[in-house]
Amino acid sequence: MKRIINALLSCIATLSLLIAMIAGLGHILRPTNTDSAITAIRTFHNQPENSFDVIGYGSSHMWMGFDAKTMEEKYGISAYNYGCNWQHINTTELFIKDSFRTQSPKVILVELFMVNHVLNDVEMEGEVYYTRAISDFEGKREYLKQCFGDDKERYLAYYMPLCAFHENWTNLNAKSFKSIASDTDYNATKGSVLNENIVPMKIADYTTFEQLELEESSLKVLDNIVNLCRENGTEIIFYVQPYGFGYNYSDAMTKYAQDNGCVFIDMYKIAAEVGIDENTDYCDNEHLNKYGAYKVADYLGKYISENYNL
Amino acid sequence: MLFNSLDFMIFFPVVTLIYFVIPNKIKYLWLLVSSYYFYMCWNAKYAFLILFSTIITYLSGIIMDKIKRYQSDEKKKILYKKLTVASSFIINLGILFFFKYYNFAFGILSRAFAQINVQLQVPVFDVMLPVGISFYTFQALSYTMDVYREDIYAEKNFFRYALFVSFFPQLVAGPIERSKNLLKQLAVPQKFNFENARIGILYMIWGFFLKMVLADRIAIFVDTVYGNTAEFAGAYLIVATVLFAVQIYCDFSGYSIIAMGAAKILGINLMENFDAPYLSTSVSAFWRRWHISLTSWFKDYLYIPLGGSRKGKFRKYANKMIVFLVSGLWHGASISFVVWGGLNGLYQIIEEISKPLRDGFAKLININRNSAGHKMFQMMVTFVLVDFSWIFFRASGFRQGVEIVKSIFTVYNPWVIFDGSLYLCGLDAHNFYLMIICIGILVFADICKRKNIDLIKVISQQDWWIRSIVIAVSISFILLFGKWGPSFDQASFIYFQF
Repeated sequence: MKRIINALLSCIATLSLLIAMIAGLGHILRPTNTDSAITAIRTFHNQPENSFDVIGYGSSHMWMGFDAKTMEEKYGISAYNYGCNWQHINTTELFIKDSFRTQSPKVILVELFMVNHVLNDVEMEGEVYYTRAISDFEGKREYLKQCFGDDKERYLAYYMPLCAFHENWTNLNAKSFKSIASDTDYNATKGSVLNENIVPMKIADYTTFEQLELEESSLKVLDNIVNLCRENGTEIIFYVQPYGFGYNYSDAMTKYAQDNGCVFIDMYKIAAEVGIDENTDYCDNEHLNKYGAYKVADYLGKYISENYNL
Repeated sequence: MLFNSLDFMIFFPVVTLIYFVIPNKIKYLWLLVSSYYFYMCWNAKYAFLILFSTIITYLSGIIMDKIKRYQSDEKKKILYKKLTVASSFIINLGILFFFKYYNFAFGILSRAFAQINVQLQVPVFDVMLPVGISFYTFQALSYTMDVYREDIYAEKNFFRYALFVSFFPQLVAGPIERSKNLLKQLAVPQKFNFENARIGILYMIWGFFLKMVLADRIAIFVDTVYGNTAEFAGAYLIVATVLFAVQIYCDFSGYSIIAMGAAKILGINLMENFDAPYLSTSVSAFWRRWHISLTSWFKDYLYIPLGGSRKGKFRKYANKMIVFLVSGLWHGASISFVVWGGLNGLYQIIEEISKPLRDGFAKLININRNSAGHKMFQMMVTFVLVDFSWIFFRASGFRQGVEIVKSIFTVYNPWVIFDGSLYLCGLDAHNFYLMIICIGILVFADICKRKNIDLIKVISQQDWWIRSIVIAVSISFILLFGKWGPSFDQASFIYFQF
């Protein structure tokens, strides 16, 4: 009997140590460029339930280009920016589903820079990795299925970062050994990343953009988002924020919005009306700075207060 | 199903767990079903080949047993037994020939006829080589031969015999077990033994280290260089060839050790297939320590039947040469494998012929042949000779082998070893240094083995907390530095192709 107990203790000790080492190494080897996104997601999950009337979703164009705090300060609309870097359109769908678990926004804002990019059949890149901060639920299982198919190894890699990122041992830095954190206080900014740099740039001329059709996979995701919002009684405002390069889906989105009874705002066409200044409102060739983000929030806040009964 | 796959990580614990909880009577049946499932994960249809080979060799055993019992005429008895064993060999080797050598043999034949302006129309079969066919065919044939020689009794239980042929840990890449060792063990239902499990796990960890950390890391460098010999000439090829010697050792012995570990957990002892071969001081000693199960198979079932060393020196050398040429051919249907086998046979013949000369010379210049320095020198010479033959083993064909040899001897660029150029061959500096450190660990382990220090036994005799730390740290080390995961295309074991 004593031998059996010893053997069991030995097995438990070995397994515990092994699990601790696998978890510890997984943390050290993680892609640290997702730390900000993970912190942002965690911060959103810590918000009180049903506390926002408006929530924004989308890639870094949304994350950096919409100052959610302004909406509350200027129009009394409680808003949150649940954007994240890279965020493909199906990741946006996941974020919307995730937020609907705890929030009941009246209006959602979806920035469409990534509208024709569906993340599927992926390797273990950063975007998939940061969705680990979202707990398991049906919508997430569907999303992972879309990304990994039936590849067991990629599922293993998702839940056990050491599997995906063990080759990172050649790129370790001081940040790797620290806990996940971000320079931004997302509670204070209501999820937005506000950059103070000013880099003058030239907004691309929308009259020259080639117009393309949306792919089936993207249309399907948009349909999912529209249906989900209908089920929850939520209005959708799709919009695209101008930057230094062209946008090819303005016509396709205008048609989609008309067909589905939602709003699409192409800010390339109304940049002057929004008040975006090429010389002062950008922090690089793609992203708005805090001054630009303020103007976009101001415009959308005004639009929402005039058109929706919040 | 590869040992280094997620599937096996699920398959093996499930098989083991069920094996130890089911009634003794059906334990071997469970292992048989598991083994066939294991094999069918590659290609379900080819399971019929194993089954066919199993039926033929099983029946040959039963028939020989009947002949032995009921035939009183000694001459007839021998004749019938010979006929039975010959039939079994012809059928099994016929299947092996068809799948492995048909295209190669008739390719040679048609080229030979073309020399005398005769066009031979031979249909070419595009068939995939069944994984492990050479291994299980040889294992099954060894049983036939052992029954013929009356070294063992014929196995009456077909399913138990089928398990002997298909036992999953060693099914696809050996060790090629003998019926005397394995059949006996499979006949006894094993009970779970903590000591066996502990040792088996340690074996598996060591095997995975060799395969995933060393062999698959080295493979990146070797494949890069051998894949572009025009760009990577001279010193690059020397380094790649030296590293290939380590790669194939780690790859193959890694598989054998994982097999031993898996079998040990199930309570079965498999034979050791490698015994620190690169520490051998002669080529013949190397071959006593490399792929021991195959070398001893050839010795018992080819070299000795050919007459061995009993029929004079010339026959002895000829027999040796035949064995190594056949061994080369066993590895693959290509002239380059034959050259590889031939070189190793030739080394041993020269070694033996020149022994008196070498002894005399050593005496003349007063060299102590037992000194550590001299042994080290012998090891290095042996390694160089064996490694030279590996060129033909690794090359994509005989022509590339010759080109590589030419490049090694004609392109002068030793500086690439020192100026960082080596880090552009698939492994960056970090990975290259890690590989060197791990080769150091391998050398240390082999030296311990040669000194009869069994590291696995040493670890398993430590206190439980030390064992726990060693196991957890070792697995973490493999997970951290091994080549695996979704970003890595799971590398098959080199010997699977044979």
